[in-house]
Amino acid sequence: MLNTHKLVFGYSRDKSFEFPDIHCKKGETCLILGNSGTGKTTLLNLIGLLLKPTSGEINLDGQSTVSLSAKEMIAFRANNIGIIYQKSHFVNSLNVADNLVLANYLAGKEQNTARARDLSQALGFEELLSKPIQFLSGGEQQRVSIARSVMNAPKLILADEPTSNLDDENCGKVITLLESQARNIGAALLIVTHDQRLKSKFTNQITL
Amino acid sequence: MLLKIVWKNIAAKKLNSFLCILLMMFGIAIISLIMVLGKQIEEKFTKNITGIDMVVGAKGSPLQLILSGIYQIDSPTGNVPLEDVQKLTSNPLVKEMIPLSMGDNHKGYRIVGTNSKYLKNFNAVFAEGKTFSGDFEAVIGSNTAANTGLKLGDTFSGSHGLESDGDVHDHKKYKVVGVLQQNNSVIDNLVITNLGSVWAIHEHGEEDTLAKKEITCALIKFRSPLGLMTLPRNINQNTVMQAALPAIEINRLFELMGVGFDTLKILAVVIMVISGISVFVTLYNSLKERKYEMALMLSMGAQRFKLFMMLLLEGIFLSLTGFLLGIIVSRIGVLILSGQLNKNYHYSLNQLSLQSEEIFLLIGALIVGIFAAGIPSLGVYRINISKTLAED
Repeated sequence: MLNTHKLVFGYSRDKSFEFPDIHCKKGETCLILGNSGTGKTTLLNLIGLLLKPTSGEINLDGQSTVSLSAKEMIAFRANNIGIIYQKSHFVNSLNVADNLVLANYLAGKEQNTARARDLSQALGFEELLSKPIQFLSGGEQQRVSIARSVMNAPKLILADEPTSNLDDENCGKVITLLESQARNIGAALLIVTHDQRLKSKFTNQITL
Repeated sequence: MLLKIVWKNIAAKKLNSFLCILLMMFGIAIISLIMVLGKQIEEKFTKNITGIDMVVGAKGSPLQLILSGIYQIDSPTGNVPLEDVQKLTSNPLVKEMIPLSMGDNHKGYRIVGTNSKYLKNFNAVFAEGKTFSGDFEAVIGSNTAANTGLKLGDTFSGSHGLESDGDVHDHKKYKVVGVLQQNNSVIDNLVITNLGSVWAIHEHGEEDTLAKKEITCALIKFRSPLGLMTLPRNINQNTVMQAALPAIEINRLFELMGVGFDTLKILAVVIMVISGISVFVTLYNSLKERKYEMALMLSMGAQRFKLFMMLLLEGIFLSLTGFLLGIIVSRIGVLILSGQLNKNYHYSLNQLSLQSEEIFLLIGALIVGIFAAGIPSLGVYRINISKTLAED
């Protein structure tokens, strides 16, 4: 599903990153480990089409994304890539349910409230749907983030340090939910982390 | 969805939004109030002038003569002998002379002694009854009737002076013989009778038939505009009387009021601009706080232009709400002022409909909103998605 080849990104002439090639199949989880400053988030931004690589190739589901125009890139990202950020970002003025269907709306799709409800049931925050985002705990927010990332049934889910702010119990829960959701929609799951607790859980690992 | 976000954001910042709306509301209300008042007062003043080219009365302030003679709102300048005024009618340039004699009131409504030409000049229509034909018969205007409760056939006495607290002349009583329909002019607030009644009331028994008959002033109509050129000067230089031209005096009055109105308008524009600055600051700060939100929405597929429009809409919504509230407040202000004017001067304002000039106010409010919201909203175009989302 996801293949990268000789990705290079330079912030400036002195500071540039060369990334190892990544191969992640449909329904598979790939763990990218690395300490701070090794370019983890940069790699995620490259794959998530938020940054353009200096050189190299990214292929998602047969589509080379590096050559897309800016406009195509926005539409491609909205429809095919779900991103879970390290710090949960939401539109604070909207409630939980609206934040979920916002993903549909911004991707230019019909607002699928039924899917939002199903996901909230599967992820265990059904009773929070009508609550303002600020009322949620860190773990709850992370679960809503997961639900939002799969609202458009993307082909690839990118998770940036999804567990770093969570305790052991929540960490386990979130990872299990993340994996099962990715498997449900047949998406490749790419987790970028320095969290050693996840090391034992996945076999496809790349260390930066 | 974006509209929902706009609305939720405004609702989330209640105090800020309230301040923006409040400022815009006051600016609009003041300007609109001034426009409506100015227009109405001008209309009222011009309507009462119709047909009257010149007012002749005792020497004094010409403006005072006009205000008392035509609008019945100031004290008269004094009295002039009827004989002198009548001499004027022999001038071929004078078409008509309407003598007026006042000095009494009934419950604050002035009693004016005149002849039937006065009623004709305003095209007065009788709601019931007929015009006065003998002494102590009175015709009352619609407001007088409504506010004093006088009806056809009632009798009443006048009190001395033009304010309602003078001595009561209770030795002779007037009888209402006619009630006028609403005329939207000065006669709505008068008690109109013949000259003889006013004279008789003040004779106090001493039968002095030789005493010179005096009137307060006379309204003159010219046969041709030529009268304007020669007559006023002639009267002012060669007689004990004074002639004043309503058109000129009222223009002077409007110029004086205009200075006050203009100052208020400038004040109102300043308030509107402050409202704009307040929208600007509110949105600028909120955009800083909401940078993550914007970056998030951009990463989820939102177009920058759409987000820009969304922020712009917030400003437009605030200024439009301010505009609407301002118009409502200005109408309430008109109603309150109208009540005050009616109490003090028996003048009422009645137009509550939208003025065409208020379209410009709307455009002004929109421009303030668009600029105040547009400039900070341009920040959407500067957001670096990956950097912003990676920041803590």
